[in-house]
Amino acid sequence: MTSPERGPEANGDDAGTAVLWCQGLRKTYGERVAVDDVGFSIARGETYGLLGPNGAGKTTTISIVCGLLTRDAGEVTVAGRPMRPDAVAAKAAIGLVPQDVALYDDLSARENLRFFGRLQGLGRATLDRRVDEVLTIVGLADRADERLDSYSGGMKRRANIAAGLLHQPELLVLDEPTVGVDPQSRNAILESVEALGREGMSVLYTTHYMEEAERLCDRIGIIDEGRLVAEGTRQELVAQIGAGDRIDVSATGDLAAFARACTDLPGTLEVDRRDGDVTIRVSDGRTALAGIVAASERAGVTVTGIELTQPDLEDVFLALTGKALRD
Amino acid sequence: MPRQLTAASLIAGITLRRRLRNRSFLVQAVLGPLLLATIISLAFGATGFDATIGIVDADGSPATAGFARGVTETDLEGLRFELVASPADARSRVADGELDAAVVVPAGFTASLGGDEPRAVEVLAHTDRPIAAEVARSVANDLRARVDAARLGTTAAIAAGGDVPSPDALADIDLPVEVVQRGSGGEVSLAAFFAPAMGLLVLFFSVGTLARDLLGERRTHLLDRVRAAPVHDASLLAGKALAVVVIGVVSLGTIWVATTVGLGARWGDPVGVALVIVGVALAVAGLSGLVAATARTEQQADMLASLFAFTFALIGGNFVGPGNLPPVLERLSLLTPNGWALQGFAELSVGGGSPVDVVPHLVVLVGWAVGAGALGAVLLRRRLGSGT
Repeated sequence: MTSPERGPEANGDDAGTAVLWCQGLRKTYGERVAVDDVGFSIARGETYGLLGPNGAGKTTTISIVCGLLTRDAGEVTVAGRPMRPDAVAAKAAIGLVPQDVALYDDLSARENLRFFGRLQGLGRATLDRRVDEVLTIVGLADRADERLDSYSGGMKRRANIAAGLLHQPELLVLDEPTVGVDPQSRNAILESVEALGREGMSVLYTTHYMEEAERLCDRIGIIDEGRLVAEGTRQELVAQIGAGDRIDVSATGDLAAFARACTDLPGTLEVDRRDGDVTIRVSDGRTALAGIVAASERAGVTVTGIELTQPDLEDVFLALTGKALRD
Repeated sequence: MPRQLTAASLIAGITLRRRLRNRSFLVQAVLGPLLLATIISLAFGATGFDATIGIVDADGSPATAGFARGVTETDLEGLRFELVASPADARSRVADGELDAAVVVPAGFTASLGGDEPRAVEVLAHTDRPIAAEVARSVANDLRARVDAARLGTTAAIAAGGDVPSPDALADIDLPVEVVQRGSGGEVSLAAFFAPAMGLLVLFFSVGTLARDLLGERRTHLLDRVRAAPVHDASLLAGKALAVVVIGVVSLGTIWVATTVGLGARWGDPVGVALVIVGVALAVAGLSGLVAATARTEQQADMLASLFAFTFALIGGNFVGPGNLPPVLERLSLLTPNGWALQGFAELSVGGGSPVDVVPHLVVLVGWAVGAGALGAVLLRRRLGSGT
């Protein structure tokens, strides 16, 4: 998978109207290639996930996108403005939430937000209003004036997100915001991101958690060893590997006849019989279930258990890279 | 205010606010300098330098008698010269600590001037009183310089066809003596030298602070958040450097006020002093930027700060009194910002100079600030951008 093929001039749908458009991004550190020919775009209101294991190039990619790192090659436009390290207008369109809690521990949440808000160029009246609003959004309004070092880890993470939202950016960039977070806080963060997505904010979300990408993202780019190996909706990605759904049937009786009957069913891709189980791969599991049950009756077998498994992004990653997502 | 200037001032403001809150500002800019001023006051006493130096004229010729008389009639605050009867007496009184040092003009000194090897003037010094020893050595050097001048004049006269002077004539050579302070200002105040000298030393040790700040913020990705905002890297560095300038000005300002009020030190024209303080604080900020751009770890930042502080202090003359640098180091000191700052302070305190007199010093200090700061900004931008 490489960059979008159309350039910004020709690509009115992407570079012109997309919140983020990038192509051919490349970054090397000496001999090591951290990012190689990465390109994708994010439409307004879309939540886009960059999914890949640690060291895949996710943080390097968003660092280039946010103008923190220079790139060896490629183009980035944010809200139609070209991004460079000193590109003030392009940077103003981005709200970055770094992986770590990037706030001053010895200041209160309100002091932190006021500082970063003013750095974003917010005027005094707007700043006061926005600080109160984002503190309410992340549920920290009642502890806004306490120093950050008195917060729990989850509260700090929420304050971290609040700082990225202050100036109402056109694109919110979250770099693995749930790493090292307890399950309760993690869920709160995911709910916040979902809510922002529903409100129409464009989000670039990096993670190595498949379930987060599946839950939050409209489209997902799978990145490994610096390359974007696949991109699309969850369904599109699953379809790309052509694995289909898997139905495991535990049964007693003439399993050979049952397997033959399943083979003849429409949508069946593959049938495999082992001991007391028959595994059937089908293009659409839910529509195939009724036919399989009917086939078992025709074959005279007694079904003791049946399980439908749809392939997930883990399977996609495994199929595309030959390794597990958490390797 | 233009956006980048606002950003720089915001960054300076938050840096100072945090330093105030964690009290490092108080320690670095107020308590440290006050402690330093106290140490200086203990070193030089409430009235500054105080010493009695003996003069022994064992030669007894009119020339040396005139010289000895001239020296002992000198009236400087805290510095007295006293005629002592004999070298043995002087040696004993120096050993007892009754005299801080002594200058001995040996018997037959004038008579030896006609020969190839004139007799040496001896300086007796107490090891615990190096400053008094330096003063005595200066007096001896002064006598030697005058004798050399007289001999040169005599040699020139002979070469021009004149007669060789008799020993009596040599003895009558007038060696006019005037012990004066250099410059035209008030009296010499050692506190006014050592206070800024030590203050500068401490200030130069702080050039690693900015680097430590940036490295810490980079580690926690705070720097990413700041740099992802519409802020140029140069503004980021300028903001951090501005905080260093404020700390430097308050730090030296505290020493200035404390030693002036507590020790009666005379720093000279207040406007001139303020200008030099601002200039040297700017230079330190520029150097801080350079260290921040080159140090890759906090340990490296500390090491570079120590290197700058000690090297500049040694070359710049922070550890020795005014005018006591060897000629080579005196020239080399002009390569250092603290050398220029110390000269600026001396120009104001010893020389009684006006703000106009320290303009060259100010220009050099600002040059250091701009040069080091610009180089630091370029290197830092490249480093942050490349992610190395």
